[in-house]
Amino acid sequence: MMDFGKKRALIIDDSPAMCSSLRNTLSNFGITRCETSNSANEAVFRIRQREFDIIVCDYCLGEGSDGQQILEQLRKSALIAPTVAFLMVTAERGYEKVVSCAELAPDDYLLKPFTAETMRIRLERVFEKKDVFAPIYVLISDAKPEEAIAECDRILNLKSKFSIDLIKLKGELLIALGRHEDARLLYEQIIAARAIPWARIGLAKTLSMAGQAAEAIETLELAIADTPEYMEAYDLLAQQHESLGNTELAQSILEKAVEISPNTLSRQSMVGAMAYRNGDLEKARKAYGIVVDKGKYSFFRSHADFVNLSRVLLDESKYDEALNIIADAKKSFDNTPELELAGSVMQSLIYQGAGRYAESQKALDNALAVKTAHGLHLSDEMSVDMAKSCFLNNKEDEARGLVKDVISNFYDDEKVQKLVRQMLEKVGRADESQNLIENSVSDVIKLNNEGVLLAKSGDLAGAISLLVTASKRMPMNVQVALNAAHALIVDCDRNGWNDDNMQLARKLIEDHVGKHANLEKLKKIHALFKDVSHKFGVRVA
Amino acid sequence: MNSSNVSAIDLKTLLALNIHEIKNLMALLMLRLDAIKSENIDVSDSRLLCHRVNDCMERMLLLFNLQTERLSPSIEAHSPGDFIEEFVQNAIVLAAGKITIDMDVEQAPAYWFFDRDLVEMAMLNAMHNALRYAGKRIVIRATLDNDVLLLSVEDDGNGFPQVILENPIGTLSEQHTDGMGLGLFLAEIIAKAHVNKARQGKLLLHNKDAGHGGVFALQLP
Ligand SMILES: Nc1ncnc2c1ncn2[C@@H]1O[C@H](COP(=O)(O)OP(=O)(O)OP(=O)(O)O)[C@@H](O)[C@H]1O
Ligand SMILES: [Mg+2]
Repeated sequence: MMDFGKKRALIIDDSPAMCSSLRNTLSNFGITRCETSNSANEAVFRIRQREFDIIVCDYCLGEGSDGQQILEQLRKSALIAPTVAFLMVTAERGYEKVVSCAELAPDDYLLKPFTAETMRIRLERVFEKKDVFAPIYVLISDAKPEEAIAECDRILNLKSKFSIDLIKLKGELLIALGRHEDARLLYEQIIAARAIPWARIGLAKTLSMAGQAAEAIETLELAIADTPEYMEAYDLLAQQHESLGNTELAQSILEKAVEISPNTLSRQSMVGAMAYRNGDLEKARKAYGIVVDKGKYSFFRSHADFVNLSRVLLDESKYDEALNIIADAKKSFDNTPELELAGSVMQSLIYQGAGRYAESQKALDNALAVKTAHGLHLSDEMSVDMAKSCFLNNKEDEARGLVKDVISNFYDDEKVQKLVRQMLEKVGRADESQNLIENSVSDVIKLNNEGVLLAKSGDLAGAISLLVTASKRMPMNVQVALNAAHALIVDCDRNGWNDDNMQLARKLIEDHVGKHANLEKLKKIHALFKDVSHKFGVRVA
Repeated sequence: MNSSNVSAIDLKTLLALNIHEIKNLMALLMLRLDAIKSENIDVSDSRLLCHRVNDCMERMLLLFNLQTERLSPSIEAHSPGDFIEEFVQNAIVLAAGKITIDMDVEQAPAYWFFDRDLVEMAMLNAMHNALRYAGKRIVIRATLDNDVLLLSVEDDGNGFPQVILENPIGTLSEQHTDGMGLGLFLAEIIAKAHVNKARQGKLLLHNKDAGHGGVFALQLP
């Protein structure tokens, strides 16, 4: 029998009677340190305060939250480590469906009524599995995905009973590293035995990474036909269609997903964003409205939801409502510089619309001051909003500077360019759009060339300093990142091993490998990285 | 009776029977509880009664759902060895030392794809039946047979009556004395709902030679 004596447990159940029975059961297993919470918010509060080893959570918690949402939010925000055992308890047989179709599953679940013996056995199994996975998780958290994959293989060779989960994890790691060919083979092998949804989704991801959009779409449609409740398939399918320019179809796919599973607020917000991009203000307002409303009970809400909603209202010329939402946000959250900045930018835009120009000017000045004072890095939407306000308040230089930064960061991202173009249209500067975008892109090219030239002329230090700084300013720009990595590796090759620089090079490559695995240049530089490492006897997986 | 077409059953009658059964079980349970107060008695009987009440409820839910939609199992990878071990642990408690329960998972695959909760429901009924009919010993087995997972409950009683062997689910409509005959009927539906590519699951019943007991088995592709 496993010794649970050192484990700390948290029970989340809205029924105090159930809490105390469960606590009793756990104490019979030797667990003396056990806390209970009757609501999701209280539970999150406790989890933020201290680490638990076991969380037992009831699925039905009432008041707009369920155990599955808590689980997803806790895992996604990394509030609980992968080593924490999360056990769901439920009276509903329907939960089985929920788990098998959710992106994130609990470590196990128990159907009420269950015996103490069952609970003990399940807990033991969960920890048995955690022990097997522990070395892999360590490698992942040390940012050593290649080594983590090797460890998966090692355990798989031992014919572990957790093979399926190991294969699943290995597939995710391969995809994160851009090794879609290897991942595809893995998934195809699984599907040959059994067409389980996650294997199909994985396969679709690898197809999309290989540029086979049509095949990816076909695979996803097959997955949806078989298991219509598997939500991740809709997200991916919508993404595929949007990148092919089928924006309305993409939106309707997400809307369908939200209909099936209306409680997942993150997808609701995706609908809002996509509807907004498509100019469908009514749907955007509805979706964001739900996010703001339902998010009220959630520990994980964000002021960005409020800002998004007020942006839609602004576009609908509902100025008072838009201002109210910003005021609401300020009431509902602690006043961080991020909120102050976002709120002020929105206010300046709303005042503009309402013809209250002096107030608009004042709000914008405040936003600019906060930005400089705190050196804040803006999201692309926020940058575009701020640029818009600058244009409207006759601060054209600031406006152009902001646009340039956004475009050079996301120079290959259609969505961002569209956002910028729409904004320029709204401020009556559609004619500038081509020019501004082209200039920003050509500035980046110039900078890249300059860096490459410096490197060629032998001034590697100069090249590194120019390109690394630039890559920090535009982290999404793959060309800048690769050139910077290249300079770092060549410098190492010539002037001797430099661990910090090689780590940085590795990070620059890995940051982009997920999205640009097919880029020839990336493959070459990755190969060079390995060659140089080998030359110095440094092992890379 | 056709098991894939449940609307053929008279739901109303079944529900009424089920509720009746629950009431009987609850009555027994209450008597037992009264007895516990007065004597220092073993509670394993009462535990079995609780299990059976719960079984009845689960069945009602399943029957309800089957009216409107086909049974669509949630197939996930599980370790049959773990599944059987947990199942046997609980069965040992129910058997309360009166019947020996053994398990055999030597030949079980490391993992298999099935709906753990549904299969557990079918196996529980088989276990309750076996506890009722067994002499001294029950064996629970998981094996891989021809690339199909075989889960079985084997007892040493008199074996299944001939009518049941010939038509395990057809007896549903007839009157029973010791139960409703719903258990095997649902087990067959559950087995058949497990489909992998072109193969479908099956419920298999047979008797060992000359009255050496019955074998209940689920075949899951
Ligand atoms: N292990 C067994 N040995 C002998 N006969 C059995 C065994 N299991 C089942 N039977 C026979 O098969 C019949 C049908 O079993 P089934 O489980 O379908 O219904 P039940 O147990 O009678 O009622 P319930 O609906 O409560 O399960 C039983 O009534 C019994 O006659
Ligand atoms: Mg029965």
